Amino acid sequence: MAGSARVQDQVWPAVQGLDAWFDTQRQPGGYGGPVVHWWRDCLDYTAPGLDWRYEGIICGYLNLWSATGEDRWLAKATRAGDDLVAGQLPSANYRNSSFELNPATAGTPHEAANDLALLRLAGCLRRTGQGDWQRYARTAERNLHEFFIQRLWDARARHFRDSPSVPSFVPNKAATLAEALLALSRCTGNDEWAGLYALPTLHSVLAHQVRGGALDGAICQNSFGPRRVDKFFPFYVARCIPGLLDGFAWSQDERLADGARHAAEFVKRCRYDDGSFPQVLYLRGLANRYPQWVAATGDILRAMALASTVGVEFDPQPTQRWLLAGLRADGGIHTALGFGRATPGGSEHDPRDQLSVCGWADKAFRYLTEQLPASSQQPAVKAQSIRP
Amino acid sequence: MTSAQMVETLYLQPLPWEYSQALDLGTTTLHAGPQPDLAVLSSTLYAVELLKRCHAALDLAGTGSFDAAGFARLAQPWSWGPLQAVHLDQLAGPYAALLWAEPEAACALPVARRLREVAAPGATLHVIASAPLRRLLPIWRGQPPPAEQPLTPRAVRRVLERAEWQVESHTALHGPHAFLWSRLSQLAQACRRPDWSDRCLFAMRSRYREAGWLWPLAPVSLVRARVS
Repeated sequence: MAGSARVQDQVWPAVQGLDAWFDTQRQPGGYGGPVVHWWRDCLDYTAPGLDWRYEGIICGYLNLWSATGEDRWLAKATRAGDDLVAGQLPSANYRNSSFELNPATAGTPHEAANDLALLRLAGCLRRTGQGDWQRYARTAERNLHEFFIQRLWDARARHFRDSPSVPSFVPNKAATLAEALLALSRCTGNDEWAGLYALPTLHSVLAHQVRGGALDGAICQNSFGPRRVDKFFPFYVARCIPGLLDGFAWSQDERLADGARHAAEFVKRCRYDDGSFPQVLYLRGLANRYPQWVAATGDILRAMALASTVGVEFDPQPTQRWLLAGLRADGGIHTALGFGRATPGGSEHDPRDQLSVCGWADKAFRYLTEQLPASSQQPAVKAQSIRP
Repeated sequence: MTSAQMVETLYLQPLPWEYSQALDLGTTTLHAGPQPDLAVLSSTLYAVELLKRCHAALDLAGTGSFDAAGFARLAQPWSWGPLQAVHLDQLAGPYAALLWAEPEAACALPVARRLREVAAPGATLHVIASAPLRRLLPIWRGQPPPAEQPLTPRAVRRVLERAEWQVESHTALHGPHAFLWSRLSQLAQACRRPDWSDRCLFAMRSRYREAGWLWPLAPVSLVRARVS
């Protein structure tokens, strides 16, 4: 209990610090800054990126608004939503939405994460009768329809490809997209988004899950046609859990809850004593421990908290301590530990570790804002048209 | 495919890493001041990439068959910052930052001299150039190609010096070290060690850009020059 109280004491200062730090990353057009990642870094282009950083930023500010009732948080969520609306291109994609691959558009899961955030924002605005909520919902719907469904939906495989030209599937990205489609169904009252696209896609996620053995519950990183890529990233497996649980909430299909439960148990088994996680596991007990995410463990903690609703027991404290230990004096948060150790003969110290990156810090921000006690409950509303 | 469709198609497809890294580096000096900067381009490929990177005023000139005026008109809905097509003979200047991608053999020297005339004191010029290894890049087999008769990085250096630019540095993109690490990664994968393979890929990325004498052995280089 004492440990829990100590963590709780640190949450509000951490949230305030992150809010102040996000403000330092504002540029005309949105949140900018460098990106470091497992796949690539984006250190030259530091202008705004309309990618998954908006998921945590918008949802985090909405959490703050919900917890405190202070309109300044809603204003920040709305400002971020305006970035996305203004950055929508003629193709319905968002400008520079590819995070580590920026500047490039059509980023996955980034655009779906943006849509999810816009739909959350639209829902909050509609509940309170503030602002033009339809414009946020319309922006998300246009992206989901014109980009994901028209260009990436594979009708034969009944899931979304990761590229229009390659028969590829990435479960964690598909799970985020399914969440966005379920949110659109709730917003519009049109069940087709969920039934035709989200639920079949979530079943494809389950088809990529390992059952039995040491990796039970793990989900393959991706596949090309029938060929599975047997890499298992605990962070990305955790990113599948909210979508699977949302699909379960929509459909009451026990298979989705069971998949989420097994995925969460896998993530739990991966954790080291210090609360951190390995970067990636492979078959035959092989692993790469580094770089170990710090800020991004916010998404793991969030997923594990959601998994408790289907009976997964997980003590968040070691990982909460790991996360909070990464906070910087300027309010930002370290991205990782061990970027330098990821290469053969690498070094202990790598400046990328200490970098605070909007698209990772948002994950800590979103989780921490969910830990604030809510002061009021928002009333539910019926679905209605997003057309003016 | 109409020209407008071509802009959309090119905008949505990712550029090979060699070129995107060269453009990332080459555009870092743009937009430092309130005045427009200048980009001289040989292909729509480069122009589309600048749409993603340039959020402030940019003057755009074409060489070879690239029609800057036509592109600026078609690309308006995709443009981030104000884009103005200019003719090399009618440049206003002075420009503090210039980008040239990539020099065509037929007109390289007059263009280099013209850019020297309109460059502000202390101005920086970045030149993207490709070497014969470019033939390994799929982009050179597609349409439109990055250039028609591209000048090699070594020839670019000579042209710049003749035009009284001071060449400061060369950066190789995907040079021999990066190539070696990617081959080691493939070897580790073949030996059923995906963990080593990923570590080699990590090393490949950290050696992707290299300054120094290796630049003639890379498919793409970035030359940085300054008004002396």
